[in-house]
Amino acid sequence: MEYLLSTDNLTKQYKQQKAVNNVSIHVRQGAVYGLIGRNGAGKTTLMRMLAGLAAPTSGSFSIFGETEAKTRTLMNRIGALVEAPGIYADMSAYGNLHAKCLALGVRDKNTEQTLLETVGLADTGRKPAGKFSMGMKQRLGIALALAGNPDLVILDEPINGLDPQGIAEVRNTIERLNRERGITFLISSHILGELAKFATHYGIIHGGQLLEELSQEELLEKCSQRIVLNTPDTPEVCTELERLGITRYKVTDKTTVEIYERLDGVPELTAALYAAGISISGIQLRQQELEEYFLGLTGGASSGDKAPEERANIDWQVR
Amino acid sequence: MYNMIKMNLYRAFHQKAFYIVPLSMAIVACLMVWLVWMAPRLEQAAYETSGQSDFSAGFHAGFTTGSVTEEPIPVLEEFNLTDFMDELFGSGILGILISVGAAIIANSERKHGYIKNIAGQIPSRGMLVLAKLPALLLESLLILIFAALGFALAGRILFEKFVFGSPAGFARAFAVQLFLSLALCALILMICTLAGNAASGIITGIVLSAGILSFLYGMINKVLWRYLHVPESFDITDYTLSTRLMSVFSASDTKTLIHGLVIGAVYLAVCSAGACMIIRRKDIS
Repeated sequence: MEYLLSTDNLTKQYKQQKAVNNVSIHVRQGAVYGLIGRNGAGKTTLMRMLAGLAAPTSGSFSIFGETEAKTRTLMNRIGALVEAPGIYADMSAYGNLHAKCLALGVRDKNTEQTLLETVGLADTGRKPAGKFSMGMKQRLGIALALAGNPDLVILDEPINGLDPQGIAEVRNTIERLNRERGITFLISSHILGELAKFATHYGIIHGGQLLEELSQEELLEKCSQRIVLNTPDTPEVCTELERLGITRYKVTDKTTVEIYERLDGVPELTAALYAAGISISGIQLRQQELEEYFLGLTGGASSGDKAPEERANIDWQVR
Repeated sequence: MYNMIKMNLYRAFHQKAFYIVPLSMAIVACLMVWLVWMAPRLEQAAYETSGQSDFSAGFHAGFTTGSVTEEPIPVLEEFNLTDFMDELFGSGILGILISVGAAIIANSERKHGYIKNIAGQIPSRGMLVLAKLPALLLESLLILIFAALGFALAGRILFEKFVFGSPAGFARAFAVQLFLSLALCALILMICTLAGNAASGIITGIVLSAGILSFLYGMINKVLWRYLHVPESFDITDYTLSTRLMSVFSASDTKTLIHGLVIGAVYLAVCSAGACMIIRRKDIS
C-alpha cells in the first residue's frame, strides 16, 4: 500500500457547477497533508466526500489500498471534523464523546477521559458544550474526530477563529498525535504560515482543481532563498555565471535569472557582472513564503476572474 | 445497529424534550380531568342562578366540545381511567404530542450537526434513521404512561370514586395505540429526514392529528368513486394512520384492533424504508 488515501479524478457537481473537478490527491501514511485553497476552492467539498458525508458525482477514492465498495467498511478508520464542530450543545464534552463512542462500539471505558486529556478538556466537568469558547469547541471537535482510534483524521480549518494560544494548542496536539500515534492527518487551513509549521505534504486546490501536489522538501526547494537578478542581457548573464562556476541558476523569464548558490556573494557577483559589461536593472536576495508561493500559483489576489486552467498555465509558463 | 441504538437511547435520555413532552402530556391529561370535573359544576351553578343553561361542556375534552343542553349535564361522580384514555385516543392530542416529541428527537443530530461525526463512520446510512425507532418507541411509551398517570393523579384528587375500568380493554388499546404511535413516529422521521428540519415533522403531525386533511380525504374518496368506479363502500380514511389512531379504543373489537395493527405495520415499514432511502441519497450537511 503506497498511499493510505488516494483519490482518482474525484468530482462533485452541483447542478452545472463542479465544486471539485477531477481531483487526484495522494496521502502517505503518517503524513500531515495540508490542503490549501481559497474560500470556495473545493477543499471542504473534497473533505466531505472523503469523510463519507457526500457522494462523489464521478471518480473514486481508495483508503488503505481498498477501493469502491470495500471502502465503506473501512470508513470507521477515518475521523473527521468538517466545517464547524458538530456537538450537542446541551451535553458535556464527556457526554458528546460518550455518545460517539457508543455509536462506534468503543469498549474501553477510559477512552472518553483519555481523549479529553489529549485535547486539554479534561477539567470541563459537566459544563454544557454549548457554553464552551470557540477554541474549546474546536478541540472537542478534534476529540470527536479522534474517537474510535482512527488511522486518518480529516480536519477542515481546525484553527479557524482561534486565538494564537488556541492555534498553538491545536498545532501541538496534531503534531503530538502524528508523532506518537502515527495518525495521518489531512488538514485544510487558510492560515498558511501555521500549516507550513507542521505539514509534510501539500495539495494546492483552486477552482475545484488540484493545481499542484508537493512535499515539504519540494516546497522548501521551490521557496528556497535565491538571488533574483533582473537584466536585459540574459544570455550574457548565463555565460558569465558559467564562467564564475555557478551552475544552480534558472532563467525564469526574458529578463529574470534566479541564482541558488553563493547567496552571500551578492556584491562580488554584481561586481563581476559589471566588469563583464552586463547591464543589471535590479538584484535582490529573496525568500518566498508558502503564502507567496500559493498566491503565485493561484494567480494572486487579483486574478480571481480567470479560469483555474488559465491561471495554472500562465504560472507554469512563467516557471 | 445495536451500537447506534445505544447511542440514540443515550442521547434521548440526555435530551430535555424527551422528558418535557411526556410531562406536557401529563399536564394536558390533568387539565382534561379538571375540565370534566369543573364544567358540570360551573354549569350547575349557572343553571341554579339563572334557571337555564348558559354554559356547557360535555364529557369530551380535547378537540371535541360539548353540546348546549336545556338541562345542566349531571356531575360526574365516578372517575373511569379507561374512559378517559379512550377520550384521549379519540381527541388527536396524543398524535400531536407524539409528533412533536418524535420530530425533536429525530432531528436532534442534524440540528446540532452531530450527524457529521457519525454518518461517515457507520457501515450503512440507513442505520442513522432506523436506530432512532427504539428511542421514539420509548418516547411514545413515556407519553402514554404519563397521560395515564396524569389522568390517574387528577382523577384521584378530584373525584370521590376512582375506577380503572376494563384492564384487558385498556391493555389492548394501549398496546395498539403504542404501535400506531410508533408508525406515526416513523412517518415524522421520514418527513424530518426529507425536509432536514423538525418543524416540517411537527406541522405534519398537527395537520394529520387535528383532522385538517378530512376535506382532502373526502375529495379523494369522491374522485375514486366517480372516476375510477371504486365501490362507495371504500373509504380512504380506513387506511390513514391518523384515522386509525383515533379509532382504537378499549371497547374496540378485535377486527378494529387488527386493522389498526396492519395499517400501523404498513406505515412503519414504508416510512422506515422511505427514510432509509432518503438518507442514503442525500448528502449530510
